[in-house]
Amino acid sequence: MKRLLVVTLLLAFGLLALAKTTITVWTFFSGGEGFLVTELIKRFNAENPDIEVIEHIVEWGQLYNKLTTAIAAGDPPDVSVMHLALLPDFASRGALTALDNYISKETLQDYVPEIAAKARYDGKLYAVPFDTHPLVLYYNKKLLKEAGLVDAKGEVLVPKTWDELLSYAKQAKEKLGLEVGISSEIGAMMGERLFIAYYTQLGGQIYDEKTKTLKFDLEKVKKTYEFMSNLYTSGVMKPMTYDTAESLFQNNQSPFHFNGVWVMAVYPTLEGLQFGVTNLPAIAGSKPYTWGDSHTWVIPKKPKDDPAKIAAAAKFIEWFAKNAAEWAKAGHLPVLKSVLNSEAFLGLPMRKDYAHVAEFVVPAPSVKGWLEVRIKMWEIGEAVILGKMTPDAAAKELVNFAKQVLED
Amino acid sequence: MAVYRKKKHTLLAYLFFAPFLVLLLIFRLIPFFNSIRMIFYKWDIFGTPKYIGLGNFTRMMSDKVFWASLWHTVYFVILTVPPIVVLSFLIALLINSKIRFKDFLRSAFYLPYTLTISVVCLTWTMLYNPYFGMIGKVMKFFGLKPISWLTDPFWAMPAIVITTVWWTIGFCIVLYLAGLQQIPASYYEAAELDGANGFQKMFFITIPLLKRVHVLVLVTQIIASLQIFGQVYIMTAGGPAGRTRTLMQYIYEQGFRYFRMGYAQAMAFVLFLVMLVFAYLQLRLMIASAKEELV
Repeated sequence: MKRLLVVTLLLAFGLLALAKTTITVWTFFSGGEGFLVTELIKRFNAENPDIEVIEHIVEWGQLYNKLTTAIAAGDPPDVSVMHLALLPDFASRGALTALDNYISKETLQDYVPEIAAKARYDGKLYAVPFDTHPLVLYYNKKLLKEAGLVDAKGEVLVPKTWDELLSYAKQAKEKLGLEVGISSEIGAMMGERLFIAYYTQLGGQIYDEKTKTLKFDLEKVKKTYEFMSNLYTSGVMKPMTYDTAESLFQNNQSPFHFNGVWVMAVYPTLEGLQFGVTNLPAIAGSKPYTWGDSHTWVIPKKPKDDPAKIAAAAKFIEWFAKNAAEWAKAGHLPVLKSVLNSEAFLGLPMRKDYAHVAEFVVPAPSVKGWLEVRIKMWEIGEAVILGKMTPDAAAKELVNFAKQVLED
Repeated sequence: MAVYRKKKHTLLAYLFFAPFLVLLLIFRLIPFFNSIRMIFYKWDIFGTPKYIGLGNFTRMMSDKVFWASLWHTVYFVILTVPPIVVLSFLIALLINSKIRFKDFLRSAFYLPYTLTISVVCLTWTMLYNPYFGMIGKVMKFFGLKPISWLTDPFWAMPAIVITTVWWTIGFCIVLYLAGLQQIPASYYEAAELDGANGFQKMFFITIPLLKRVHVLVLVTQIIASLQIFGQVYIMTAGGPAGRTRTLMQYIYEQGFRYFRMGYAQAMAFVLFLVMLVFAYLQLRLMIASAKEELV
């Protein structure tokens, strides 16, 4: 009798387990960001008893390597996080599942159009973006006040143009005897992010609609490098790593600071740092366009599609995007208009100061090979900043490299 | 009977080897030969490999970044190996002499070697912060201008070298200590009776008798340094402006980041050949010195 009971119980549990669809999710979020994701997954699991989402946190620098080998080995997770900029390189190689039949029309129509367009490759939907994290300008209120950069009402002057930024930065640096007027990392931050912002503001395009390929405007690339080089030769900026740039800004040693919105998870919590955040300055006559990437969810391609699993996974990632106001606590901007305009999001500290930046985001072009070009941009940008390459030579190098990658 | 027993013994021995041999075969030998096959293919890891003959090698010949990375690797070896060999020998002498706190010193010098690479690199990245790091503060105290180590085209490589020497020297010190302790005290006593001074004892006893250790340390350090990857990957990612990109870093970028597995494997094969030369050299030198000792 006892034995029978045990067997029945075991069977019952077994059936219960069968009825539940298990979804494995790979993320690289740790610390504050990781906590937010884990909480959201817990909430989803509670609201959806038929699906169980299991999160695996993979080290930040290792996720794409592991994902690549897992897909090649035919055993990837059901869902993975992926930067939008990397999507073309994975989608073009058949490594991702098309999601057109799984995500609702209402959700797709709710997206900021620029971001929704880049979630597609070759006309098919491959990703569900759940944020955008643009490059923005941070300013130290305490330092600017000390340097006398205030208006009649005593409010700090926020630069609207690059000329204003440079003149304020220079004044503050000289008056207060600081090392730099603006702090920023030299690789990705300057070479790719600031480059794309300034180049787009000059009217430059990266993607050619006609030929559907990558295309740089040599003259405008050169102008952008000249601008970048001038930031350093004028002494307003100095070459430094990401950590050094952050430490200068956090310790009231740099009046201005270029960084992504992700630092909004940390900066407001720092005592002794009175700062503001705003869009990048703009060239006269241009909008303040800026670089921005997005975190998205993708469903890696398996040797054999399991429609039930894909549907369950799609349900989770769509739910996550809709509930991204919670995720926005990490500093990122939501990409669904309904979330972007929601009280839950706008009620977060200082979000009103930079929520509008979402309109000016320039996402990565949908081109296979972009991931190689962008990293080359870090290298060329560094060479220009360090005076190892003239803006003219750098422009030619970038244009040629882009051509080479596309031909490969 | 004896033959039978011998056979049985051999069989038993192989049975004991089996777990290791099977793993060696699956995780080392098969991948190794597969990887050698791939040097003739273009393969983006997801799709089917395409045979391109020596295409990967002609690409290598005209790839400026490959040659630059090869040079940076050699430059790293030149900067790293001599200080490791000399310093580890001197420190081992110090610890082996009759000084106080030698147990403490031995542990202190070995401790960094037990740390993981990420801990070591993150710690040194903080030390190298020109405005808030310890090195910058010390330099400022002495009236020197702080260096932005990791973003300086000249200083970035030495910064990685210093980190590497600090991290790995403990292992070589232990090798030298073992060597020093094998030298019989009677040699020194005899030399002293003959009136040899400290300088003579060092150059006619200690250094020559440590010949095998010198070869071992030198060659293993050259081979290890040729494969420099983690420190570069974590501290500079090959920057600034590609000045610290070593061959392993480039192989990683091409293979895992840009989906050129065939090309990456072809470059890895070249690195393998270079290391093979040094491994062969070590073998010859070791055999030669062993023969010398027999005579």
